[in-house]
Amino acid sequence: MLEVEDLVATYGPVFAVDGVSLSVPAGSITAVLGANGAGKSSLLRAVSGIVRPRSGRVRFCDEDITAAKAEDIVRRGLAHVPEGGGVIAELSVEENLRLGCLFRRDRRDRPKVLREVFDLFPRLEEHRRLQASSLSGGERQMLSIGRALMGRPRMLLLDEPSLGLAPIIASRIMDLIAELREKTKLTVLLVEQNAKSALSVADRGVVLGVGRVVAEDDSKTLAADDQLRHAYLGF
Amino acid sequence: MTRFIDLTLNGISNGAIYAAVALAFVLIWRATRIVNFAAGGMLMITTFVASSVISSSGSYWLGFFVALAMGFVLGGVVERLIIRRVEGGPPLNSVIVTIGLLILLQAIAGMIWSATPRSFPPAFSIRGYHVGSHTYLFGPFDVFTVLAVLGVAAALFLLFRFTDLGLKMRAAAFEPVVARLQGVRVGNMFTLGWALASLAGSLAGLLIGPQVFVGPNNFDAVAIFGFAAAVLGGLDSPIGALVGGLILGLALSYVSGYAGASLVTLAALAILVAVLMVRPSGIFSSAKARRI
Amino acid sequence: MSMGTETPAQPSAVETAGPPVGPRRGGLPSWLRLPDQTLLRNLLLAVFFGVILWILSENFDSFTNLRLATVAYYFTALAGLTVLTGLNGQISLGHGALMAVGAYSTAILVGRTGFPLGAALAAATAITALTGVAVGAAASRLRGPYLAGATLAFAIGLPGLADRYPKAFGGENGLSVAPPTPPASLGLDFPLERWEAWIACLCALLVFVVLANLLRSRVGRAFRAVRDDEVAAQLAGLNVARTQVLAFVVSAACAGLAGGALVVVTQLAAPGAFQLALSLALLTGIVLGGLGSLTGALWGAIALVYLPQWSDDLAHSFSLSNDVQSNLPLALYGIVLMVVIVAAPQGIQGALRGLARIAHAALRKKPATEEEA
Repeated sequence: MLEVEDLVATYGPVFAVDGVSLSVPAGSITAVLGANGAGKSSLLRAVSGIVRPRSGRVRFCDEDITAAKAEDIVRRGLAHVPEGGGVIAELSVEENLRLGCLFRRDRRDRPKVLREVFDLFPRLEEHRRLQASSLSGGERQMLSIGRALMGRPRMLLLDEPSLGLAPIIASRIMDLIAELREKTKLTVLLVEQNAKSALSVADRGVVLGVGRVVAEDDSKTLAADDQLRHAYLGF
Repeated sequence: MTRFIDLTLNGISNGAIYAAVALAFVLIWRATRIVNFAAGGMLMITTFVASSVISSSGSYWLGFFVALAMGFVLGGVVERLIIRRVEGGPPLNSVIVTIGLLILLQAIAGMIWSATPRSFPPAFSIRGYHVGSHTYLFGPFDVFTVLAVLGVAAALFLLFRFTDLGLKMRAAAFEPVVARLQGVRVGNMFTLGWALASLAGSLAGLLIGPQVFVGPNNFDAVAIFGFAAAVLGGLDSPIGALVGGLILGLALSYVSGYAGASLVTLAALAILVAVLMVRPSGIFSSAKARRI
Repeated sequence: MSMGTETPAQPSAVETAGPPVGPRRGGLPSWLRLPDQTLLRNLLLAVFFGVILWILSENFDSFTNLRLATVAYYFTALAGLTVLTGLNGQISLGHGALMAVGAYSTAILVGRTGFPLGAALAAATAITALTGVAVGAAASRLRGPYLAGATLAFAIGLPGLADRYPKAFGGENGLSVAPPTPPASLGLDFPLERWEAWIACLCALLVFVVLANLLRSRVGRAFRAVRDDEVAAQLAGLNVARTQVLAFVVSAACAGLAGGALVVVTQLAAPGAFQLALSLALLTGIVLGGLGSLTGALWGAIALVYLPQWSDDLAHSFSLSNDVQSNLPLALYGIVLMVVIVAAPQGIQGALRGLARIAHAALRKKPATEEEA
């Protein structure tokens, strides 16, 4: 579903993504792993259009989206939940969710998809009128994922969904991701620093080091490779 | 006592006009974090256009709506062609560009219409209402002024709170990157923000035209007052624009009535400086101080 | 930005002891090069410029000498303002009002109390500097557009004082001053305009030496540091508020001196000359010339004097109407401000530096390097 070829993305003189190639099959969960600064978030940003790649290709559902703008990419069904969630604090929970589906032409579907998101995240329905700033960290993460789902995406880019969350909430989020894939065949590219929990839910893993792909394999093999684990994954 | 009432009513009427200009500043600041120093010039131009349309067509309302429409278009065009290039850059750049635009607009007005100020008709009678034995300094035109500004403010409120477009604009203003990820065309939202702001400014120009006459520099004062009102209420807050406008209108009216009309500009400046010294983020702000 | 950097031909400034390493001067023989020591260098430069100005003024007619004098006092004001805005990052829309303070002080001291000119100019500079302390203290708490708005208020409000206190300030007509008389030693028929040009140029050279030294000094570095990153500067031990006020005071002093020189040249201090338009013209001058650069202040001063002249000539040659002609300089200022900031933010001086770099690189047949820090 997503093909990345020799992608290069820079911030000034820094080559954050230095020739990364990977492929995400439809319906799979692929984890992108590596230490801080390895280029994981930059990779997602280059794919979703926030940052313009310097060179390389990105193909989504066989369409070239390398130079496409972020606001157009989401319309094609590729949703990006940025690092920290990107919840808009000044808006209410419901307004944040509504924001996620505004680009879709089908207005009549909106109440339906809102209902589905609320069923997935009952907490959000409880707090629907509250300002997003009063949510806890875990609730915000749920809100940002829920908002992405409002657009009925075909693929989700998740940037460190468990960042800053208590372990029990983080693992619940991981379970949720697996659940989503089961129910809706959603394809997921998951960036995580917590490699252990990511590999437990992912099918495949890609390990980045200093902007380059260091290893790519199915998750069981990666988890079993002791040397790799110690060097790059921290466990 | 009647004097006080007169001054109060006058303050409310003028305050509504200042609030409209303040709204123009606030809308632009919220969207693009820029103070539009050219606001006075833009509303001056649209009022001049209204004046020309009125004299050539004989219809006030035609000129009125042409000015509003032109304000809307002018705001959008200015953002798209000029301001877009300095958005997100250092504040110095946007200050210089908007001042450059102000200077240019005033020069163009001088070229087209010359510097001699011309009179501008009010929408309705300015003769005050007669109650008992006293004719108050508040007439049909003042009622129209207040209602028109409140109407525009209400329309904007409805737009922002209850429509999809309004939600997109708010998202674009608060978190442009996140908004883009939700498919919001942030650039277009900024253009629309400037267009609406300029429309509010145009309304103010039409409402104050009869008082100040129409000339290239005649709207500088109302622009300063609008800016002071916006700062007073909080550049981030549309409610603040309305409240700030009202407070400033009342304050300046009292100054004019009790201390002399020549002190009004100085009083406005004093209030502006006082607010900037004491609480620069204004009344309705969430002051986020950064202390080391 | 490219990845690689050239290895420096000279050891870095950190490694050498003593005064900072000057810019590369190319292959000039040692006796032609300027000394490294900042003060000496600038004094020599000032003497050099002074000689050139003296020669020019001897050969100019009265009208052109007046022009020279005007360029000189504009430079005096612009130099201070470009340090404030370009180097220190504070936007001021109120320096026209500060020039008014200097002008009126000079006019009162010379005209009413019979001060000798030199003392009056010095006193006017001091008075304006003190005003700068007050305004600067208020300004130091503001940033960006808020600062612009406050100084704008100052620019609009201050000239109103002339109307409020007509007895002291001469009201609309202002205060006139007798023309400065050249000393007898220069001869009885020494042209007045040349003397005025000398006075104004002396002010300009004085300001040049002081500011050129300041740019290279610790104070200059403090100005830049606060502009670039206030938090970092504070963490590094700089007193941000004091730095900002100092920058304001320095620029105010320059504006005050310029205002005094203006009175010398025009023999008049009237509110009409110090409206908002002057502050905006000064802003145009520093932006067009190149922010933060003394040479840029010179280009700006020349532009401010000659642009209205050229635009008038343009209007005449195209037989444009009176309205168009009188508004043309303003329109050009507005266009210049917008275009320069968007297209060439470093102004004329920046463009020249760019050209020099290209020429330099072409001569040496090496790829152009990054701008020196």
